[in-house]
Amino acid sequence: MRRLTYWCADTVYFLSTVAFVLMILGNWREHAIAAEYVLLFLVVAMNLYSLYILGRFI
Amino acid sequence: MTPHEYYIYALAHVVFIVMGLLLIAGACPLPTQWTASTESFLGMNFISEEIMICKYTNTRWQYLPQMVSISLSLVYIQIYHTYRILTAENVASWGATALVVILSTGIHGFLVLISNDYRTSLQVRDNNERYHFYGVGLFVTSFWIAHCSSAYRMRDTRPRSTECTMRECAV
Repeated sequence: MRRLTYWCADTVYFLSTVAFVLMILGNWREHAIAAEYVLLFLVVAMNLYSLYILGRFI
Repeated sequence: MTPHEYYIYALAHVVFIVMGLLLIAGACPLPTQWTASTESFLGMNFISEEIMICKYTNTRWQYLPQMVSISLSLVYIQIYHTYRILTAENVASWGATALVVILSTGIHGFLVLISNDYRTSLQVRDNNERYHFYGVGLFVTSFWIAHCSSAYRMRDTRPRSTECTMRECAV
């Protein structure tokens, strides 16, 4: 279950990155700002999840 | 892994989140010579624009991007630690070596990103667009690969009742 969650987060991050690049290329800059904040949220969430995994080994 | 290491990593995450929130919340006052046109969506600006505002302000807030990059470096060390502990092997491996290169590349990308932006006339070059997107690309891609590596390594982990630390497994 934990591994599946991690893969899901990775997949959402990848799709958000693709969406962000497409918005930049399509000059939808306002939507690109929103996508950037989604990416930032995912960056923090995945980092914290990695810390949680490490915490299981203390 | 000792609890102290874990506490340092946890502290790095807290610093990264707090500093990041200050950065995107617009804590830095606008530089006096700021000429960039602000693009916003529901009151939010591009994060790189907020970084540039902090970088060129003449207050103590100018060190905020550096603080974020330092804490991010520690977070990346923690990601490497997580990967190593999931492999449960205390020897050098190609995966671990590649991850070191990938994470270093990510930090390099972030440093290029916070050093170059194409919105302001305060930059040393006339056009920083290439450098900016180079930094963004490296940072985003390396982050994704690093976490995919950890997720891939989790296939070998067992439930908590049977797992062991690296030291215990080595005995």
